[in-house]
Amino acid sequence: MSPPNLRLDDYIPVVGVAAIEEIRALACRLEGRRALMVNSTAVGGGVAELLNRLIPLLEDLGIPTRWEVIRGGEEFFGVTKAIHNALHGTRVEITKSMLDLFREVNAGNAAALNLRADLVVIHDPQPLALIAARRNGRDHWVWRCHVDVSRPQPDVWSFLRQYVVQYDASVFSAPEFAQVLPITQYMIHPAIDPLAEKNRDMPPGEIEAVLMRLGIRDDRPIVTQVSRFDRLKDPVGVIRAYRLARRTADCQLVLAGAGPRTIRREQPSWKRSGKRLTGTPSSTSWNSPPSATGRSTPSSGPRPWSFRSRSGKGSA
Amino acid sequence: MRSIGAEPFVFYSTAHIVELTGRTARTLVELREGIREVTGSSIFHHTFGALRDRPFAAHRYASDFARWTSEVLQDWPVAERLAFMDPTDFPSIRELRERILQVIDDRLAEEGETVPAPPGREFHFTQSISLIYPVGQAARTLTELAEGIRRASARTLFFHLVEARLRIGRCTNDLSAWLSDSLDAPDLARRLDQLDLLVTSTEDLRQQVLSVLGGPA
Repeated sequence: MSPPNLRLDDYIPVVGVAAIEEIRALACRLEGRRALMVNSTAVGGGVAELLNRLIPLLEDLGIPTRWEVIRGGEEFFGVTKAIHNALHGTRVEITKSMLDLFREVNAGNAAALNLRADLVVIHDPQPLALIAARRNGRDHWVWRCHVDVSRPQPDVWSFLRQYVVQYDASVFSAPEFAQVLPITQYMIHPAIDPLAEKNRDMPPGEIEAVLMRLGIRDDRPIVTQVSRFDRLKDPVGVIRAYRLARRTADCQLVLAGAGPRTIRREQPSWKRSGKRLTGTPSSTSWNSPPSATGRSTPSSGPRPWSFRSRSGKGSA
Repeated sequence: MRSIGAEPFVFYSTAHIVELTGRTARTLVELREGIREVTGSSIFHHTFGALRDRPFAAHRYASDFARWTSEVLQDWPVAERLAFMDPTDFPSIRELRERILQVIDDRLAEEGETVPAPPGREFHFTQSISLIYPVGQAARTLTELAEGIRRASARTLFFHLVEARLRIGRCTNDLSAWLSDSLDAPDLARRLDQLDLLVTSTEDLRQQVLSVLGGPA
């Protein structure tokens, strides 16, 4: 879970004092501006992970930032998952009723949420149609697309595009995701947080204990993928690569991660803690989704799947 | 040499936002057309930006064009010529662009069109939008200048030492200009001008500058 008291200065040992001072100097120019982040999950998934870290840092820089999570039922998130797959190039049938539901849920959220801010950042396709609720031209709306849209299904992209063009700008993660759009397209590469729990250095003793608990040998090479267990992450491709590698190397395959069901659509951890960050709204402005969509991460944490080579005990 | 500069040296830094242009190239001919037609800020991004963001690769690939023609087109002759082209040798983006085009034209005249990039490995033209801002530090003496260099971020060093060549329009940099014009120390300025800017890391560059200024690293 993200620490609610994350500070920008915590990163000084990583990037140095000068880089942090420069970020603060830049942030001074945004004094008095308020930001809003909107996405579809509070816990689980890359966007929620990113926002859990980013928002405390923006607050530390003196930029009051709210975070809203849109509400939607299983059916709506089934539609957005299909759209997500279609953007990745998988052939998916999207019906008119699915698109109607997408519009209706977005309209309902637009009416329920406080979308007033100087900068509104909408993350990924799920809340994309909130732009229809934009009331004036004084605020700035940005669509931050974290999805690979290099080969989207044309009819699905055409549907989404009508909303994308209403934004002031878009942000993609790689040059090949650029689209033909009348708005400016920026690029921000994906990044990792060196201070996040998953990226910290592990002492040798802890490494040994984990390997022993999971039955992974430390005297043989490991082929691994660390990701959500999702077809889009191509775990089958990793298994095929492992099969190729083990023809010449006595190696082990470790698929480490968690399933899509670890995603939770509820309040962010630092809001659940009851502590408020400077400038954040009261909890009454939080729009938590129906509890039916809340999903818990097993307290013991995800267990990697371990496959051993033919000479070992298991096989892929 | 004066002990106190006539004007203070003000330290600046830059933030760069990368903008996607949507323009791609699959072949050397398409790369050439792109280089000819894109904005100056795109040429800057793919040359100076490559030096700034990937200094560890600067000795091998002084530009994104060199890297792509080497790694994707595997056209070694043109890649080698582009790789040896130091962007900091050119006083303007216009002259840098013309020289890159000349190198590609020479290669096309020798060989004609080469094998296109495989799908998914196209060259994507992007461009930088730069925001230049003071970091709140200034120097009036040589000692203060060295202290500022010691504390400066990688981007500050790059701005004053490398990007400065384009702004000032001659083969020098902000530090040398201040040493020469404000502190009346032309010898120090000349020695700074002779530094190899294509170093493997910003720290190497910092150490070289501090060595010239005579302060402890």
